[in-house]
Amino acid sequence: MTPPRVNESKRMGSYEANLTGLLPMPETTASAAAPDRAAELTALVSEYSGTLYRVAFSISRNSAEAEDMVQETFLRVLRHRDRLPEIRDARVWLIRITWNLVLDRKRRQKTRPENEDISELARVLPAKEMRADQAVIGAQRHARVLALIDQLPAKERQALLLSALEELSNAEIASVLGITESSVRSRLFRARRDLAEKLRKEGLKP
Amino acid sequence: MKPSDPAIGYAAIDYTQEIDGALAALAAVQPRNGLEQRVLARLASAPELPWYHRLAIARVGHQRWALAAASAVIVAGGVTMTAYRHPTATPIPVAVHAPHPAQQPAAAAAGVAVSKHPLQANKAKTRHRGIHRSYRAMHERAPLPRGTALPMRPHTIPATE
Repeated sequence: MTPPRVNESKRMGSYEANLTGLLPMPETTASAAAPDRAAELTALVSEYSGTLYRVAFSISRNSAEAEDMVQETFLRVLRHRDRLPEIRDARVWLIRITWNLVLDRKRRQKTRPENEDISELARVLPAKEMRADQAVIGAQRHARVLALIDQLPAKERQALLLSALEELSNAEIASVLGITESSVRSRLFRARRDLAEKLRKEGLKP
Repeated sequence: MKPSDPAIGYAAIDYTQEIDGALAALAAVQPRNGLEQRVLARLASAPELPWYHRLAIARVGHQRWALAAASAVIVAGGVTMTAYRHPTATPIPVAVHAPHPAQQPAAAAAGVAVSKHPLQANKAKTRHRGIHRSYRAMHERAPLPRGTALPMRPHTIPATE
């Protein structure tokens, strides 16, 4: 007779003790629902990792830090996996977790990113039709605009950055930020207006 | 008014495309290959939380309020039991003033009824609050020598005289 999974888990003291595939099963839910939740978590990872990475990158502008935030997000989800069935919109929920984590970390650092990761931008630009020098110039131009975005007030900046993620609607941005949809619209308007003003002062010609 | 109007400079220039381009570049960032595998590996190797941490984040659902209420009752009971004291008969501080020594014999001689109750005798003066030390300092009198004959006050002189 094989020992129950719970005992083995206690003996090893690690999630690795009761993996089903790659994901852990909780001790307390040694039922049929546990593998479902593990599979659900795996599906969430494969579906939303990229989105969460972009959310984190939009704030941190650092690849390693963004990836770290994604991992931290799913660690939080793992700890609160019992709540998964209650979540109505997993995507917004995950984005909100990542968003708060990144903001917390940024608040602790209390500094703006000193090194804009231009190489990342250069990598994602539509460079297939562009020469290498044009791609670099374009990346620098975008980095300049993004640096001006960083100078916007926090509320406007956050709304604008979230709106950059095309997957998010105004209602979803409002849900992430905990504000009303009309507030999102007004913040977006102010952000674009102020940013245009900054671009004008910079003397940047379109 | 055209955007090229020199009076308005770049104010009317539409930067929408510029802004959208930068935001699109930001939104098009792709993670390094294998992010999902790295996340799953991290989850698999995550150490199990200690019991107190699990308890802190445990989901108690609808029993949360019941637990909170029970905790509040226990705390309130403990505080009450600690702070409760039996009511003891604490004496009420009363300022007792003897009637004026010169007044009683004279009043008795005049047939005027004088209450022996200390509170009643001094009610008009003190109103149960005692005499303030400044008043006492002003009106303190030295004890009279023995055998001193006190003058009779007019209101204590019997009407027959």
